[in-house]
Amino acid sequence: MKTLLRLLKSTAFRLSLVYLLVFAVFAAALLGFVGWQSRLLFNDQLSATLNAEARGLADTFRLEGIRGLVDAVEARSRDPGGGVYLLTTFNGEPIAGNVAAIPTQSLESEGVYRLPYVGETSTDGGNRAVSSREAIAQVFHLPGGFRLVVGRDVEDQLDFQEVIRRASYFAAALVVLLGVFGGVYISRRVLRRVDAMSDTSQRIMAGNLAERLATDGSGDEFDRLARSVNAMLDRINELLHGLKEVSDNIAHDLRTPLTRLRSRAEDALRQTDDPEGHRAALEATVEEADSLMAVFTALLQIARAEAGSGDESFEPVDLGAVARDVADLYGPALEDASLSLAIDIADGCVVFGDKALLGQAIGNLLDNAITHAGNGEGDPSPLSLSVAREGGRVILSLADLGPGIPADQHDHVLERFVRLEASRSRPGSGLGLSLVAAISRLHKGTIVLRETERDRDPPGLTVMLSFPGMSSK
Amino acid sequence: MARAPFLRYALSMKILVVEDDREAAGYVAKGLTEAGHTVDQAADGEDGLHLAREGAFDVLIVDRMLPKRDGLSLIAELRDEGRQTPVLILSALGDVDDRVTGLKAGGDDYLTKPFSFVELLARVEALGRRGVPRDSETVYRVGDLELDRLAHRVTRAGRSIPMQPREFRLLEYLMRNAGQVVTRTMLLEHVWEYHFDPKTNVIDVHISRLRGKIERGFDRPLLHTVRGAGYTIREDAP
Repeated sequence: MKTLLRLLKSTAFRLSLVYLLVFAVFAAALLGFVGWQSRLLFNDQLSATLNAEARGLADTFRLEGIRGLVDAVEARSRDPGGGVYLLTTFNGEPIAGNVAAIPTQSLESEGVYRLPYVGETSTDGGNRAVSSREAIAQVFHLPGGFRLVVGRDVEDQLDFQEVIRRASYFAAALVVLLGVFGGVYISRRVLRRVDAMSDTSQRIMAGNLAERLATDGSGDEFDRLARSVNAMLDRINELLHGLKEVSDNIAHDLRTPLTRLRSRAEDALRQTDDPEGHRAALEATVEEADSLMAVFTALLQIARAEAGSGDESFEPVDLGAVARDVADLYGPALEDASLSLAIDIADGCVVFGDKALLGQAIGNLLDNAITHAGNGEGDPSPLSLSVAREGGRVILSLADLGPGIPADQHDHVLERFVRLEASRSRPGSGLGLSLVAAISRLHKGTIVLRETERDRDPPGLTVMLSFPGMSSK
Repeated sequence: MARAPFLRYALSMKILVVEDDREAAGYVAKGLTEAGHTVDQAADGEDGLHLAREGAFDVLIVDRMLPKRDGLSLIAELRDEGRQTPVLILSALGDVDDRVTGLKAGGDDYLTKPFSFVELLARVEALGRRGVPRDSETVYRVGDLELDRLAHRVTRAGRSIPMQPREFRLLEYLMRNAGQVVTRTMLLEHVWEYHFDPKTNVIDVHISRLRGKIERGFDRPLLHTVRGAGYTIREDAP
């Protein structure tokens, strides 16, 4: 009972009911039209036949007189078929024909009528009355007061109409039956898949996050739905994973500086009689807190960039102009780090994005160059920043000739908090490149690391960011 | 530590702090009072709106998330009524979009929590000085240093000092806020028009170059570093 109720409430069932109704109306209209048209055609043909026949009999009367007409009527009356003939005197006395009785008032005036009549057939000389039938007949008044009725029996036509009507009923019953069963069958099939999906979703909600909706590879609507839901689940899983990673990293990497901060404050508290020492300790504490805050901000930025679509704040940005601005900002700092920056920027490198985030990304790359590729007091080491269009994309690349990163570590350094052994002693949170990677992902771009000159030692590092370009107007 | 210079140079202002976190509001009010300003406090949006209408404040400090009426709607309401009091928005939401939304709603400056007090003070005082029509002055002067905004020329004691365009804008911004502390982020926002965190001391290097140009060969320093805060340009040492 419950299943039936659910079935009745299902969309598929309602849809099939609607289809059924539409189809039934269509079938009824079609059958009705066929019936109506065939009747019309039959009537037209009939009246033409009656007319011609009557005219023939009238000619006979004119040429051969009443005797000739009586003979002709008698002759035709004996023909098999549905002919109805009657010749009467002016007061309705039958003279010839195959009609036993006919309403006399219908003979009063000329015209075409649908008449009930009682026919007679002559068998073995004796006339036998048959049951009342219906005919379409034309009544003529002939000179001399004779009335001539020429008609055709229409009982056959009525039978035919009856057949059509019965066929319609049968068809209607069949349509309804097929529709109901078809609807039930289809909705059961559909419901089974929907039920399966909803069961799986329940299990996923209950915490079984690895579960996915079943696909049958048919590529139908359900398959497509299942596939997009699965893709959504994958994405959610990724985000959850990212979130977990962030919290793990925060727990792990913020603990160290927090401990340092706390020990410093405790140490200052122990030295009770040293105001200068207290002051220095407090200042160091504030600095430590600031750098902690910076790490925290960077983490949040990464998380936001990875989670968001960001599109609402996006606008067309000339990446070349941003690169030039940031290079200008970093210019003196690069010189101090003994890096000589060469800039090669093409016109019209427009991307759809956020100016501040793109600036941050380029700034982080230059920060990295200063930290890792700077040549200290030595001769300036070359550093080249270029922005160019390649096909439909805008490529920004920064190439240094610093120590570089071993090729097998290239993917690894894009992760959060990764600092290679060699650089642990230098300042930095290990978030710089992962923020760049997150920003480029947010801009639907890609990040590639490679060696600047493979055969050189050290090989240097080139970071290439590739963004979808916009046509510059 | 860095308070004395503010105390000595800033005009005393009447400031309204609309913040629901009592402790945070207390610190801000204490610091502003010590810097020589008069501070009123409101703990929710309705109260803040009421006070802002009644009192003639020089600057409003408004938290974004407030009970009863949020900060942005408070600001929008004041602006609708034609009140132009400068507003500094405080927010725990820090991404770029929030910043843009805040400034669009009628805020004049935006500061993300957690912030350092010196940053807040520097920004509040810069906002308060907006009333002073410095934009109409064509020549800024600090001691014997002169910057002609129309001729794009800098002279000290009558001697011309050649400047790169960016150096000129940096000095212009510092001199426009002469006597006031400007922070590194304020410089980044106003001179480079970017809002992000450079990890290395990129601004410091620009400042030290600028300092070299306007002080080398002269005996008195003008461009001073305010520890833990930023920079200030003024005739006497802070």
